[in-house]
Amino acid sequence: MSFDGGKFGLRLRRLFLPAVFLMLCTVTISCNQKKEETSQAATSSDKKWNRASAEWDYRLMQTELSLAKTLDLCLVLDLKHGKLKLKLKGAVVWNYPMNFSASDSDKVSDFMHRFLGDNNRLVRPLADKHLFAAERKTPDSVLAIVGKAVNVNPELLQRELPERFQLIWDDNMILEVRTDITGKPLSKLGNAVIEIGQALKRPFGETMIVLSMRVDDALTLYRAATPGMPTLIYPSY
Amino acid sequence: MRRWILFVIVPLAVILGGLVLAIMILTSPPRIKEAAIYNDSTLTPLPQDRKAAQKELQQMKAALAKFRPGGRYIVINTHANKVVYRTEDSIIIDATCSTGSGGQLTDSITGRHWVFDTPRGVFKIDSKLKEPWWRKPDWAYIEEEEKIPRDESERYDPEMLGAYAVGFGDGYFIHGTIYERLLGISVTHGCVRLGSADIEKLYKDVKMGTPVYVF
Repeated sequence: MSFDGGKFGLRLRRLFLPAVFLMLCTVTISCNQKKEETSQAATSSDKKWNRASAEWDYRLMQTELSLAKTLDLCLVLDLKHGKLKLKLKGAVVWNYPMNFSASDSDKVSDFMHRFLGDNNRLVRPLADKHLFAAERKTPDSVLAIVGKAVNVNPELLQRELPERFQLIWDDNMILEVRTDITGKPLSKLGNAVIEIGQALKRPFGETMIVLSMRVDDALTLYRAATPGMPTLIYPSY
Repeated sequence: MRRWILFVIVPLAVILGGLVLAIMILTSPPRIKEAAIYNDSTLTPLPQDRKAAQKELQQMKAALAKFRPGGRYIVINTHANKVVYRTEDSIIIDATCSTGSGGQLTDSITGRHWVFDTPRGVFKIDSKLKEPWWRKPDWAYIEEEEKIPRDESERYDPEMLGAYAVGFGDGYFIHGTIYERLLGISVTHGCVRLGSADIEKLYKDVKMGTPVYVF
């Protein structure tokens, strides 16, 4: 057996040259692809970057951060995701879906614009609340016995399950919550005065949105919402 | 004719106008003193440069994320007497509980005063106990008009707290109860009572350091 070095070298070159060519081709193609990808990414980030929307987000985040730094319970009207939330220190402690009918969409939009006002205010304090009718959660006779056993005034133990109540902000903005229970009016005269007052103010502008709610959730919202409570709005856009 | 207008219509109009005005004033919500949070004075504008603006947005998102509990957390709703073990998007346990009654007690001899409220705020789970024994505090004896025992061992009650308890600081616990029929009513001295099945589930799943939000 003899070894022909020249022939072997030629074979090696024949194999080596196409391999190098192939490698060069692959590198060139992948480089081009990368370039295309980067340029595509740049274009999509250009498209994604919307300064107006970023400014909104920034304002919202700043407001939310300042609220999270306090120990105040905060009500969030999240129109973007259709949720009503209570937040404590940045955490959602209660939420409820806000499902409005199509016919209410104008009212919701009006409410949002009125809330934001000319200065695009994201936070307003809750001005007032009014309970129209409610049902006592536990019979008074039961609480009288329990109260005696635990040495507590039975009135402290009672919870009023709301049938209908309103949360009221300045500029005649009202969120009315209704449940499916049939309660008793707490004060017929008081209710009448509130309703007449609202009717008289209506010509000067009023927005009321109505939300149906499960009674337990309505109880939570009614009791947790206190005048002065910060209310944050997430606009629907 | 003119006299009739003067003496009847005008006073009637004045009375009616006054009534309308009174109702409008009465039904106007009280003016709330607005803190700085309610106006834009505390908000800083987004930097003009796009890269700086994007960086600022990322930093703001990160700052906000620090406040969010991230994983599972406990919410104690004293208004509806509910304990909810949840994440931001899902609910793991939704149970009826009993929270603090808000009742008060004063020791006529020493003048010591107690308010039996469940404390509001943010806490963390700092203990997990199986078969917990309750060390009856002084107020338990004063409330029952019993003599406070001198012997410490007489204070312990093995039944009262049920089979499990998880503490959330300052001596407050979420625990079982022998009074399950009272769940849903605010009758406790500040602790949070749960039914035996719910406290068992919570005890087995909850980890030390889990945030507890009470409102």
